[in-house]
Amino acid sequence: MRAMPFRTASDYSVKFTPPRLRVGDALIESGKPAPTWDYLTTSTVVGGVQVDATELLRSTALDDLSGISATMQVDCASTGFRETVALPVVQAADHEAALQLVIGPHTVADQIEISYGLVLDRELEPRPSMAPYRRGSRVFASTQSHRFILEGDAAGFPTEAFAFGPAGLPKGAPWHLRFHVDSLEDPFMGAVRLFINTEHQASEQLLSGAPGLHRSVLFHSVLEQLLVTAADHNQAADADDWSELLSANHTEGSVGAVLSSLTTTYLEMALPAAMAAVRTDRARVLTKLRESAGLLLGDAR
Amino acid sequence: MTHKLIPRFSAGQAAIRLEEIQNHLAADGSISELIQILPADAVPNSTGGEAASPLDLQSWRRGVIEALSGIQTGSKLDNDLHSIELGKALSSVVDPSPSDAASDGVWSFMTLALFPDVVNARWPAHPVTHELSKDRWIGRQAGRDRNYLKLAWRRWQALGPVMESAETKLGEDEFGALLERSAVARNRRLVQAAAEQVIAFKDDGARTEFARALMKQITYQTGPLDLNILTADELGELVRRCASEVLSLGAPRRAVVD
Repeated sequence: MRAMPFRTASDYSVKFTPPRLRVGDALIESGKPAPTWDYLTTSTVVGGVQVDATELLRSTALDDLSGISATMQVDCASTGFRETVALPVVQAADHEAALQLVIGPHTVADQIEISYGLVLDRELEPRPSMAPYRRGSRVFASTQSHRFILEGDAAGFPTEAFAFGPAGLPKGAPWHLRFHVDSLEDPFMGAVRLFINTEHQASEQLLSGAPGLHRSVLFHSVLEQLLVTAADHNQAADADDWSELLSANHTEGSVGAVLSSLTTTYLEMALPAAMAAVRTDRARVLTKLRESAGLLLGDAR
Repeated sequence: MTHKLIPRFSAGQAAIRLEEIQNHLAADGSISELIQILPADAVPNSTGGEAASPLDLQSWRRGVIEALSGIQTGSKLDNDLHSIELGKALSSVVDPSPSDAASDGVWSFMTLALFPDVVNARWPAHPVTHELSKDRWIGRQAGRDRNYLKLAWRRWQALGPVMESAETKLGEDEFGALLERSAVARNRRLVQAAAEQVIAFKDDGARTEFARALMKQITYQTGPLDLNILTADELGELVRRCASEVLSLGAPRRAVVD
């Protein structure tokens, strides 16, 4: 839960049930693919919430539950779909209440993300207790989101193999990584794509995924390009916004979240610090990366 | 809803096709020779509806070209209008399934096979290098997510109702400012309320700067507030308040190069 300018619900006061996706007769757990889903399908996200009324009121300093609602939001970054369903928490006091949201045909694609929260759904008077008072105040925002994979193998690194020559790419190059940082909130899988040159003698080895020097060099090169591209984005016109965005919380699976995970794992730094270091002390940072990524050790990580 | 599925190009197919078009234009070939209704290597998604037939594709092409007849490109005003009318025509004539349209291969096919002349009118090859913009002609499959047809359609989808009633149309830059913060842009009612404020902004010269500042101000609100539960009236009020705050800090000014 992010810091808010008002009191928020404690972690102990609310429990959300991991949502499931109903597609036809199948009930799918989050994180799992939905093989029977297609564009024509109507599906339903089924979730649940339960609050401990006493603890919720104590932690928020609110007088009663009547102004608080539990929300379940469904987002699809690929189509721009967003729907939110709200339920008064009085219905979820000390027992679980269901939250359901129907997703119509031709509205979502790739994957959907579900997030829970508690909001104040009425306007109150400001009080010295710092209780939330503005309608819409995020009384509780879950840091965990849940994802359903609707199409394709979202777990693999997006890779495509073709001959570079006719496509206008250098025909002797083994690979080309396309990575554009339009927004840190974009799904990472949509922002990155690795092209393997089938005209190159190493292409089969690279596509096989077998551990070895080829994979080691490719892996390191990809990591380096991701970090350098993101760091250099700071020189763009919207540099102030960019610095702010780097420090924000990032949705799971987004460009920001993946970069953040990479910098923590391989540079042992939070994303904003790592981006600054790549800009100001690039040679040292990239040397550190060669070590932590196991470059030339033949160990595909 | 009876959306027809649109054929797709893979990233490799798109890159090869772009190279062919580039070479053809560099050799003074005519753009109309490059129109392909249904190239053999373009295939629609295998499930999720009925695929568009060659007759559908021909009819889409005819409809969009008719809608754009008489609309010029070149000046900022012409370009803005071209983009708006294109988005409107794609929405009404092609009416892509939003699920299908999430695939960038769909937009590569439409740009590089069905409507290369439409894109060439707005984004012609560089006069010296003869290169076509990968961002505008392909988009995310080869570069930034800036495919011309995709952006025009997406903008119409998000802001069409506001655009219909507006006396002064939004320009491409203003659309960009309104929609670039993707997490906020998914709240359609919020973006439409913001667009109304941008349209109402009187100083035409700095409208894009105002739009950027307004969206930044709105984004700040999304930290402590969940704007998705607010009614249209409440969102309108919040956006008006944000607009006042932006203006109270001093009217946005466009950067001037001496």
